[in-house]
Amino acid sequence: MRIEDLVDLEVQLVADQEVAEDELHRRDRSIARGWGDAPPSGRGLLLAAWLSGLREAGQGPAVGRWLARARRWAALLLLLLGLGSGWALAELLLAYDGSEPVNVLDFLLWIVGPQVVLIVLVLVAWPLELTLRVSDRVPHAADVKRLWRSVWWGLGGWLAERFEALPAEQRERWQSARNRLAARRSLYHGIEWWLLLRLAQGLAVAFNVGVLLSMARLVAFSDLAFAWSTTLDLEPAAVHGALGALAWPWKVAWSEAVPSLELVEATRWSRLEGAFTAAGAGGDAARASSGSWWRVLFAATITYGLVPRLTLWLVTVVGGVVAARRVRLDTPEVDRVVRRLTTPVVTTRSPEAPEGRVAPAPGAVAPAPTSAPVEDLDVLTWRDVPLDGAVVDALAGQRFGVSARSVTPAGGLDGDPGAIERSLGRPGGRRAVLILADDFEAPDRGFRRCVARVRELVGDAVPIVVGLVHAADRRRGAVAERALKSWRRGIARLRDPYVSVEALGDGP
Amino acid sequence: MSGVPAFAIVGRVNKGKSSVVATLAEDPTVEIHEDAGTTRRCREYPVEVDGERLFVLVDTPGFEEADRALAWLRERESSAAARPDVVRDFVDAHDGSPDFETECRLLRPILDGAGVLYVVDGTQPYRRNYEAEMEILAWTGQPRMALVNRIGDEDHAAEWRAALDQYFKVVRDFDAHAATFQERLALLEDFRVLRPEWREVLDRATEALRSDRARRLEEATDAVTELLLSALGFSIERSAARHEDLDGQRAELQRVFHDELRARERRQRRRVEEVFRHEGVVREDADLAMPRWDEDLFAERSWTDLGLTGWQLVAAGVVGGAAVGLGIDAALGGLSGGGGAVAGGAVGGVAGAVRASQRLADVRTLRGAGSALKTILGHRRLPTFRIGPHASPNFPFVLIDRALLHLQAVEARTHAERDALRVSSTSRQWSEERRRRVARLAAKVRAARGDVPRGVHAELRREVRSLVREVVPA
Repeated sequence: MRIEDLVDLEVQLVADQEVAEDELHRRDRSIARGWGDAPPSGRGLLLAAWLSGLREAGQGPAVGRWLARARRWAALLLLLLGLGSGWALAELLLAYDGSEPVNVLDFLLWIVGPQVVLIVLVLVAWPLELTLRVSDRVPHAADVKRLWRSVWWGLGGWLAERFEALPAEQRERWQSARNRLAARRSLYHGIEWWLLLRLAQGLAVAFNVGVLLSMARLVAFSDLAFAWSTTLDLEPAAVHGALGALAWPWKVAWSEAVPSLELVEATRWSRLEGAFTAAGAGGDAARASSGSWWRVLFAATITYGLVPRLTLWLVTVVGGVVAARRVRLDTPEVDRVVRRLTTPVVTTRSPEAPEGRVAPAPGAVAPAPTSAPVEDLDVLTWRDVPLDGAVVDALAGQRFGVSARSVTPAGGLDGDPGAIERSLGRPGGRRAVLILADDFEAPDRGFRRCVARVRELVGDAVPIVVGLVHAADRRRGAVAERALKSWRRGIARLRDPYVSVEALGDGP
Repeated sequence: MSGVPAFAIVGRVNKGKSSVVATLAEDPTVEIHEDAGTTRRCREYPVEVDGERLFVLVDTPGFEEADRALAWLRERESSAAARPDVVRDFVDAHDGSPDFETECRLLRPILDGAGVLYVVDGTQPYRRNYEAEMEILAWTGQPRMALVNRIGDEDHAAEWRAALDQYFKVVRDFDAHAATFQERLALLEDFRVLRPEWREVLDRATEALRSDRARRLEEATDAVTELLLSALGFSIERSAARHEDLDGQRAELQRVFHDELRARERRQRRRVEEVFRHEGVVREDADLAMPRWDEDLFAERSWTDLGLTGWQLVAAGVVGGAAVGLGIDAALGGLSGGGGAVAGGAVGGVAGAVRASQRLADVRTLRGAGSALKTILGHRRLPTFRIGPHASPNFPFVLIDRALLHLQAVEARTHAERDALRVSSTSRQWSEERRRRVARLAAKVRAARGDVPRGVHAELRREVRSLVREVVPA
C-alpha cells in the first residue's frame, strides 16, 4: 500500500467506528462483489482496492490525497528554499569585487564542513543509537533529557489545565483520539521517520544544487579569483596535504580538481599586504592560476555535499517504500474489514412489517361459572378428547351434580354435525351444555363455530361450560393456568355472557 | 412466489410454527403469543446471501377447521391424481370468504410450489383429529417434512412419530426455544432431501450460514478482546482545582472510574448481542432474582463466584513472586539454596491474596504540588491524582468470566425466546497454564496504558479466541 492509502485506511477505520456493523458489511461486500471472481490477492492490494471502491462510491476519504499533495507542496517549497538558500550562500561566499580574492578555506568551511560533520554523525550515531541505545549511556544524557522534558512539562502542564477545563464529553473524545493515535502510532512511526528524513534530504540536495548553480554562473559569467589565507602559522605544504586528503575521492576521476602544491603556494593571500604572498616571485602566475580553485570547490561541493545527500535521499525513498510495504495489516480492525469483504452477507429476516396482534375483545374476562341447578345436561367431547363414559359422568356429576343426558363427539374426524343437532335439539328443562376439551388445544375458529352452533340449538341464556381437561397416559392431570387464561381470552371473543371456561381437576 | 425454493411452515394454531420461524430466520419481530391465532397472514422470510435470494420460509396462519375442510375435499374427490386440483378448487372456492379463511391462506403458498414443514407439539398427546391436517397436506402433492416441536414439559414424541412417519418423508425433533446452530443447520440439510433440484442452492445457503457464524464468533472475540484492552489499561488523571478539594476529588474520581468500567462492559455486551442479532434483548424485572452475570461488575458476588479462587490467585501470586526470588538466587550464585524463590513465592502469594479481595481501585497521588521549573516558568502546579489501571490480579479473570458467560447465553438464545436472557451459573475452570498466560498478558496491557504493542494485542486475542471456542463450539 502507498502511504496515502495507509493514511486513508486510518481515517476510514475511525469513520467506520460510528457506523453499525451490518451496514458496513453490506457496503463492503457490495464493493467486493464488484471485483468479480478475481479479487485482489494480498491484504495490501485488497485494502487498496477497497479504498478505491469507497472513493468511487463517493464514500471514501480523501485525506491521503490531500496529505500526498501537501507532501509534494512541502517538498517543492523545501526544494525552492534549498535552492534559494544554497544560491544565496554561494553568492555571499563567492562575492568578489576585484579587491580581495575569495577565500577557499572559508568556502570549504561553510559549505563542505557542516555537511561532512552531519554525515559523519548520521553514519556513526544512527546505528549506534539503534543497537546500543548510546544516548542512555552517555553521561548526563539522562539529565539533559529530563531538563528537556521539564520544559515540555511546563507547557504541558499549562495545556493540561486547559484540558481539564473542557466539558467531560469533549475531554473523553480528545483522550480517546489521543489514545488511538498513540496505539496506531506504534504501527506507523517507522514510516513517519522515513518521510521526514526524505524531506530533509530533499532540502539538502536542493541546497547543494543551489550552491553549484551559483558557482557555475559566477565561474562562467564573471571572473573570480581565489586564494587562501589564515592567521595560523601553516605552511603551504600542510595545507596542500590537507586539501589533497580532501580531494582523494575525485583524484582519479577529475585530476584537474586536485590542488597542486604550486597552486597552494602561489595563492596564499595576505590581507595585510593586500596581495598574494608570492607576489614578488611568480605573482603573475598566482593571479593567473587562482581561478583554478573553482574546480576544487566544485568537486568538494559535489563529493561532500550533493552526492551523500542524494544518496541518502534515494535511501529514504526506498526505505519509505519498504517500510510502507512492511506495515503489518493484521490488526483486529483491519481483520474486521477483510472479514467484511470476504464473508457473504446473510439476511434471514422478513422485509415486511409485522401485522400486529388483534386486541382482545372488550370485557375479555370470562364471566363467573354458573351455579344454578341443572336438570338436563348435554355433553360434547371436542376433537377426540380421550374420556370414556364413566369419566364423563364423573365430571358431569362433579360439576353439575347430574349425569349427562347425552355424550356426543364434536369436531375431529369422527365429529358428526347431525349427531350434535339430534342431541342438542331435544327440548329440556333447566339445561346446560358441557363441552369437554383438551387444555392444550386452542379455542380456534372451529371451536368457536361449534359453540355458536350449540347456542343456536339450545337458545339464549343456557349455560355453556367449556371444561378443560389435561388427559394423557390414561390419567387426568392439572390444567395449566396459562392454558385456562388463553381459553378464556379466546372464548371472550364470542361475547356470550353465558359461556364460561373452567378447569376440571385431575383424576383417573 | 418466484422460482426460489420456499418452505411453508404449517400446522394447527398454537403449536409453535412462529417460534420455529423466528428461530430459523433469527427474527425477533415474529409475533409469538400464547393465544391462538396470532398469525393471521402469511409472512415471508427470505434467506438472502449477498442480496441473492436463495430460499424463503413462509410463516402461515394455523389450521382451524381442518376436519370440515377435509370433509369438503372428500366430497369432491375423484382420484388420487386429481387431489391437488381439488385442493386448488377448495382454495379458489373460498378465496376472500371468511369461511376457511386461514386454511386458504396457508394452502396458497403450498399450491404455488412451496415445500411443507408441518409443525406439531410433541409435548402434548397425539390426537386422531390431526390426521385431517396431515391428509389435506398429503392431498397437495408437495414434498413434506414434519417437525416435532417442544413447548411444554411432557414427552409424547414417540406417539407423534408413529403417526407422522406415515405421512411425511422426514420427521425431525426440533425445539424452537433451544435449538443450537448445528441443529438449525441440520434442519436445512433435511430440506435438501425434499427436492433434489433444491440441493445446490440449499448447500450454498448452508455454506453461507456457516461462514456467517464464523464471522460472528470472530466479531465476538474482537469485542471481548477490546473490552479487556480498554478496561485493563484504563486510568484517569485529574488535577485538583484547589487544595481544599482533595478528598472530594478523590471520591468523585473513584466513582467516575468504576462507572466508566461498567459502561465499557455494557457496551461490549451490547455489541455481542448485536453480533448475534439480539438487539434490544429484554432484561429481567428487578423484583426477580438477577442472573449472576447481570450483577454489577464490582458486586461482591461477581468477585467471589467468578474469576479465580483465593488459592488460584495465591498460586498466580506465587509464580510472580517466585520469579523475583529466583532472580535473587541467581544473583547470590545459588548460595541461597533456592530460598529466594521460596521467600519470593511466599511474599508474592500473600500479596496476591491480599489484592484478590480488592474489588475497587484506589486513587493514587501522581505528583505533588509545584516544581522548581514550574515556579521558574511562573506557573504553579496543583496536585494530580490517578486512578487505574485496576491493579487487582483477579480483575481480568472476573471480566473474562462475565464476558464468556454472557456470550454463551447470547449465542445459545434463540429468537423464539421472549423471556429475559438466562445464563448458566457455572464458573469456568482455569488451568494453571492458562491462568499464568492471562495474568502475564493482563500485566502487559496494564503497563502499556493505552498504547498496547501489536504483539501483546495479537496474543491476547488468540487467548480470547481459544476461550471463546471452548464455550461456543464453531
